[in-house]
Amino acid sequence: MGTSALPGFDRLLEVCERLGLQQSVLPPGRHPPEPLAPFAGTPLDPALASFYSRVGKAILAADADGLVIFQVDDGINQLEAENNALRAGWQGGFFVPLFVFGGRPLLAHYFATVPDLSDPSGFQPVVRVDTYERPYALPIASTVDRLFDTYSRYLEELVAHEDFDADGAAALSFPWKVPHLLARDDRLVELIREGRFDALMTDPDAQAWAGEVLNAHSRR
Amino acid sequence: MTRSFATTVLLALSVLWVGCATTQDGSGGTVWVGKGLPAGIDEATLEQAADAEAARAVAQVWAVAGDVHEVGARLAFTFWSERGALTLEAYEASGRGGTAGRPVDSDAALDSLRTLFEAYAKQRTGEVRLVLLRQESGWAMDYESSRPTRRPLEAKTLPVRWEGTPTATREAQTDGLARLLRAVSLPAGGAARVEVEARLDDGRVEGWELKGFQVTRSGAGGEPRAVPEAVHAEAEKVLRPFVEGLGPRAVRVDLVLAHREDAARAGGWVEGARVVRASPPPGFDADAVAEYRALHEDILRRWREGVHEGFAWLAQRGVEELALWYVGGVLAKGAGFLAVRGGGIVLKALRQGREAAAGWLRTMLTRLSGGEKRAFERLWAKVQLEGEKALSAGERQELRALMARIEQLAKTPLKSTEKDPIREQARKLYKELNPHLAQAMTTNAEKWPVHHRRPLQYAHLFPDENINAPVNLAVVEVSTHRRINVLWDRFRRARPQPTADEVLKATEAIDSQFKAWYHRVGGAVPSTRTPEEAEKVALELLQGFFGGLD
Repeated sequence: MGTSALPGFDRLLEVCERLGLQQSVLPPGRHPPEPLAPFAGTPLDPALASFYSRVGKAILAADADGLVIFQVDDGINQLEAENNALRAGWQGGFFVPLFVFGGRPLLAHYFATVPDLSDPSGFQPVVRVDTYERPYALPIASTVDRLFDTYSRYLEELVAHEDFDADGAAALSFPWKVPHLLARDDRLVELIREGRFDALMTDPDAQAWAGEVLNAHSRR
Repeated sequence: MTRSFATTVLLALSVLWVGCATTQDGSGGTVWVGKGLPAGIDEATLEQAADAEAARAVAQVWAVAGDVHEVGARLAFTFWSERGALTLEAYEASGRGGTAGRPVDSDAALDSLRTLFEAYAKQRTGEVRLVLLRQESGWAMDYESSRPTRRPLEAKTLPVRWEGTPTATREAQTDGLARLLRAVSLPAGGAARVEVEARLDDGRVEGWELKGFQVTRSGAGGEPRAVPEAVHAEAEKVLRPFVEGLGPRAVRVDLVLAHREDAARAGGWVEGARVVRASPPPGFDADAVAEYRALHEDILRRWREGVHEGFAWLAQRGVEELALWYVGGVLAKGAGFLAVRGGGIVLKALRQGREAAAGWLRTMLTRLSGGEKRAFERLWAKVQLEGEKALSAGERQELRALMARIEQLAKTPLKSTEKDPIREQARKLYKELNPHLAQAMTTNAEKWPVHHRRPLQYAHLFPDENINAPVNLAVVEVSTHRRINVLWDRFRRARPQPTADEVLKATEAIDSQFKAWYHRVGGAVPSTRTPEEAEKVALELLQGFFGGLD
């Protein structure tokens, strides 16, 4: 199985460039992982495989909000290490297994795919996991590349926000304050409506927020 | 001795101390808290402002003295002088009521006053006392400065380059005095002393009060006489330089009134005026009071020199950076806006001292929306710079509602949407406080999260405490942090609605096992246990305290 294009990631790089946000990208390894190759007991998401065929690690827009994609190259396999470590920790709190591939700098917020919800081609939806206090997750994209696309649009809105200069990312926290951006992702909305993430959305505010995503979608 | 034309100037420069207390050791960060010079102010700017300050003082002193004609009258003005900033502390007059002398060459008198203020007073730090003695056709002026004593609370330390209070504002401010004195009448042929007090806050006259009235000579009876307009006018002129001071205070003004039976109208003069000082805001120690006052002075100075620019400067700083100013403002002027049912959390939180109060306010403000924060900034800036009376009924209501909301928020569990900004703020603060750890925390960011020892989830159980207080934060290696979070998750399941005491007990239990890993980025951990063993012991402790953690 070959790797797919990543228009969302390309857009995210373009947005970072245009807005003058920090970009730290490491080159890929000589033997990047294949799509659906087993990683920590889980088949690797094809979009993540595409990402690692182009990039070994990325830290993007850390000066505004920040998105880190774990390192996988010839020397380091952070995906394997993080997932094994996390399964011994907070993952036990979830009944649905997750595959963590990134997070936010310095915060215990992770981005993870949901292998059980993969589509016929193996693409998995993405959740943001908050592991402070009792772990919970919020659905944020139907695929990894869709996350990049949504996040690029979030950065555009964040930097343009009237409170950004004073408050930084707190002016428009992702994903809580941008349900309208997530509502652009039809497949994600469908999964939310079907209740496919309910077991993960254990935070008391999560269902109300998901309702906002659905409402925003219906207004489109 | 200096002598000029018709004016005898006795420059009795009995200078006991001529040093300068101005420090140049840098400002207190991006806002000025009293050390060195504020950002954007250099020596040349300071000199220009000091010139403007001296020119105002000359005009203000002459406004009083120019209308005093009795030979032998002695007027004493005591200023606090610092960096060229002049604040009147006291005024005394004696020898009034005598025979009027010949007209004075006012240009010569003004020249002498300019010399005194520009060449001498401007260079001194401490009290400077200017004594003017009316002679037959001129004024003798005696000037002395003394060793700096404790700076009066109302004294400026930075000169201000402005024209002074506008005439219309001054007239409105003294309307209250005119109304007050209309109620006072003097027995025909009698004499009386009247004591009035002006309540001041910065440059505002907030009100007048009659403090005493004593007839010192009964007179022969007849139609009582009103207080003459000339006495109103003199009181207003005496008050004018006092109004340039800072902060809440009062000025006690003593008036002497007398009526000669053969005169149509009564006469009189201002015998003295002095500052009655208010207590500083409760909850602040002396250092915090000094920093608050310096910050307030700088903000007020910017606002006086240009209202628009002053507000723009405030807006650029934002409420977080100026938290100390807002804390001081709420403590000093907030009582009317904090009368919330079951209230008191805001006041209690802000009375914990400078750092704790400013930290608490910063954290609470992250819970407000951008619009609410801007309203907080706008309304408290207005209260502090223009006075509570400047608020419209709508603004008053808006501010009251805002303070009630902050009070309520402090008691309400944090929503998930509110936690991210607080964590962001914790990370920023922790790095500022621990610069030796900041580099590693930045380059290998995901490995070093900042841990809240007492979790955000329970912030509402400690409503007057800052959940982002430095003592509550610790950087912990990510895998160890996960272990701690697992323990808290188990505690949550065992105690879904814990008390504050239970949370404290759990915090102590977890800290006791994991504190060796706190505040360390790399290097050996001084513990004989592994994190796994620490987790096991902490779990046993929690199980022993609360049960149900299996």
